Amino acid sequence: MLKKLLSYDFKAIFKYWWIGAITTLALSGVGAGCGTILETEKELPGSVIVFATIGMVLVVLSIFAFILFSELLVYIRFYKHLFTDEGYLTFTLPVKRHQILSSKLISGFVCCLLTFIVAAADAAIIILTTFRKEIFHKGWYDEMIKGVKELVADFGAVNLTIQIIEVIILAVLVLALGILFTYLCITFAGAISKKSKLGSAILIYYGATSVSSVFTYMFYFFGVDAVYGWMYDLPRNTEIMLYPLFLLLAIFFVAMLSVVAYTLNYRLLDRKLNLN
Amino acid sequence: MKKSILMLVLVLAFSFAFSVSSFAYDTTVTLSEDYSTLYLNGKTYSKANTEAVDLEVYADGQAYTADIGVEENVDFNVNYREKLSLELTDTQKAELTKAYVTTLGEAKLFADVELYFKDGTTIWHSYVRDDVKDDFNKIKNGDTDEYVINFDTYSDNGGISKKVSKEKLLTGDMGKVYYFDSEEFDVVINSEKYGYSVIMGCIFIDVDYTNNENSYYYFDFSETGIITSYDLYEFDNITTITAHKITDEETIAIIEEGLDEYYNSDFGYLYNDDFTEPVAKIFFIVVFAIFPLAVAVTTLVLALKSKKSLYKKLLFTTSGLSLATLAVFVYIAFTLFNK
Repeated sequence: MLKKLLSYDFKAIFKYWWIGAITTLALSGVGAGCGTILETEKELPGSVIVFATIGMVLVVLSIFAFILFSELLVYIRFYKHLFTDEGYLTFTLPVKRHQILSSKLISGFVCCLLTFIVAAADAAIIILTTFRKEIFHKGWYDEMIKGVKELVADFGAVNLTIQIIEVIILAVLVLALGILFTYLCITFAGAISKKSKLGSAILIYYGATSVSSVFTYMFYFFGVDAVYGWMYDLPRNTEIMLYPLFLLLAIFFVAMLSVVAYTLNYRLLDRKLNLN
Repeated sequence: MKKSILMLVLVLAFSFAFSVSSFAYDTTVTLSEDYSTLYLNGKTYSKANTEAVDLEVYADGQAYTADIGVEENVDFNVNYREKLSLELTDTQKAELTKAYVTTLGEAKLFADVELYFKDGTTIWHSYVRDDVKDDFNKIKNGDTDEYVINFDTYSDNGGISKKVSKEKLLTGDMGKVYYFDSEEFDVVINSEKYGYSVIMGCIFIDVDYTNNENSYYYFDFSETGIITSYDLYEFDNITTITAHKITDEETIAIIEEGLDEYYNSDFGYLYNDDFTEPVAKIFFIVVFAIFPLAVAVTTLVLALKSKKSLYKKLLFTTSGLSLATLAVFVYIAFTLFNK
């Protein structure tokens, strides 16, 4: 049944998503052209420069708009499917509650991942085209390879590989946590608010992100510098061993928060369907 | 509605026209044939070493001429209120491929020129305006007994600066300081007449955490050829430097007064280790120890009470991940603090 749920969720989300993706990819070509004009050493009329600058700004804004649009598709789908009139039908389907939530999580995750890939492709098209003279020459590749060799010599191949794998796992978990966190805000609003669920969801989301921002700023202002100070006089072997351990700590922490968010979501959806 | 739209269109059009019409002034920069003199706005600039001029004198105008002999001259304007053009003679165009000129500060007291020759060489010349030259040379030669230590140049009150005696900074015995981990502050001479500063060296504050004592060192750039404190970080193989140890009690008192004001200023708290280190420790313990422990205990209790299979599994998973977080944190903390 999960496969069928996923199939309907993917159809609903990607029905409009692909239009945004193709549009931004096409606009990135325009952006590449604008970038080339701005970087050229030829003399061009001032009006061309002005229009190229405006074009570049609009292209960059369109990429951000596409990212926002994709996220809205995911969360609007979640809200409409569970907390509007459509929700009555959803909860009467012969599926388990956690399968509904898992389907939303997987479809949202895939959409966000593909959005990131498309946005990265847009940025790559613009940057690689605009700065092709600087990037596509042997010296640049030699510098890249030299940098990688220095990293391997510094950390060791095994340690570096473990860190790379950990970073990928952490990125996946952070993406999942972000989606679950927003779902939780919507679910919580749906559970406590009778009239303006969407408005309540937005308020709860901004309140929760403001609180988490405080922790993030504290981490950067106080934590990072302090950790560097604590580490600087450690033996080199110990210091190198600590990097994958810090990443492992982050993985467990984010995984813990993700499961908490999923559990709370599931619990609220479960109790919300107490029609008695 | 129509009136509102018309108003909006007029405002946008006016703003656009105003921004475009800001190219109102056109200033031409020229260079003598041997590049020893620069001419701008009817004033003459001569070559000088201006690298130590305080970096807060930001670039105010920039003109760029590229592909000489291949394409026409191109002007690139940083300051949109004034268009800066670089005009070269035929001889100069024949030997150059590219040229930059950058003026520094609104008063354009200084200028930098970067020249790319057809033989592949690149030369950077700095210039100072002739009427400022005497003042600048006097400062560069350190022809004053008064130095100023800049502790904070970004405060709303104009920054925290303390005047000290140059002699008392320079005459201390030489000592080694591990500069990379020391707090540092620029030491400058201010030009009262023209409002610019020249960096003469920097103060390093070496903190002995064991005895909670500070040692102060003055590193003079003219003794070493290093121009700014940023240059120090260019030399990867240098970790300690030799500088004058400051032992004069009056100077130490002035420095400590400046540090005290700085650490108690709006942003200074964030750089005071006595404040940030305990806060960081508490923060890490709360987030990675207390919080996971609380989650582990709560979810374990709920899991044991729960009758629903999936809910039980989710709670046990949460509990397990919380305990794993706690375990890794304890191991890291033990490694960091049990040296």
